[in-house]
Amino acid sequence: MENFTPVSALIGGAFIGLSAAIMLAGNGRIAGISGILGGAISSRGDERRWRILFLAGLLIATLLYQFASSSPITIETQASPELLVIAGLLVGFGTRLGSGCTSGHGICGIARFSKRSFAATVTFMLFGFITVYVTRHLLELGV
Amino acid sequence: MSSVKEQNSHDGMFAHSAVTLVSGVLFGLGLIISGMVNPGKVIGFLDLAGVWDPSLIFVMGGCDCHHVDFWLVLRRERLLFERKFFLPQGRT
Repeated sequence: MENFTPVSALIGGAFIGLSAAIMLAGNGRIAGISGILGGAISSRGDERRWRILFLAGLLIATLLYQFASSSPITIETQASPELLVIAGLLVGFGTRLGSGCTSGHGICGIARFSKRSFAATVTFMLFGFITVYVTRHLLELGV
Repeated sequence: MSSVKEQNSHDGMFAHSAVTLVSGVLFGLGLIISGMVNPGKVIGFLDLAGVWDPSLIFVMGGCDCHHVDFWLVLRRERLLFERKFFLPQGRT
């Protein structure tokens, strides 16, 4: 358990949960990133506007954090650009098919006691575990 | 008396936008602080056979603290700046 960071994980999680709660209380919307991104592309008018605003918020957070914090934002991956594109396509396709992602289903859906979200979360977690095991320990792809 | 304040559309839009922006910023900060923007951290959680990093469970735990907020909001069935909820109507 080398990289275990329980405190920052809890704090970060609390921020995310608060964000989702505010979104629900204020606007009646689910803070599901895949849905927000997908909708930002495919919708028009107000529907598009608020989604772009939310995504802008995500990016602004990066600037804020870098301004306020001395520690850099760590991004570690051994994946090649090509692999990242393929992975991105799979994630995009999968989240649209499944109508949600970790935030939509895993956080908001479960908070609403949605059976569908619970099933989705269990499924993508399970396949995440399996995929990492296969790619890292069976095929030893080094990613 | 309406449970939603009657505001002209301009005010409503501003409040709606402010909430959305604040929410986005909080979400982004949460992702960064928790380390979830780092693919290595996520894979560390998914890598059960390797050096396992259970941090993601604690991220979920942090979110779980707000489940009560969800419950309260959905119970009240009243919103601050919108007239209705936009909740997914799943097939289950």
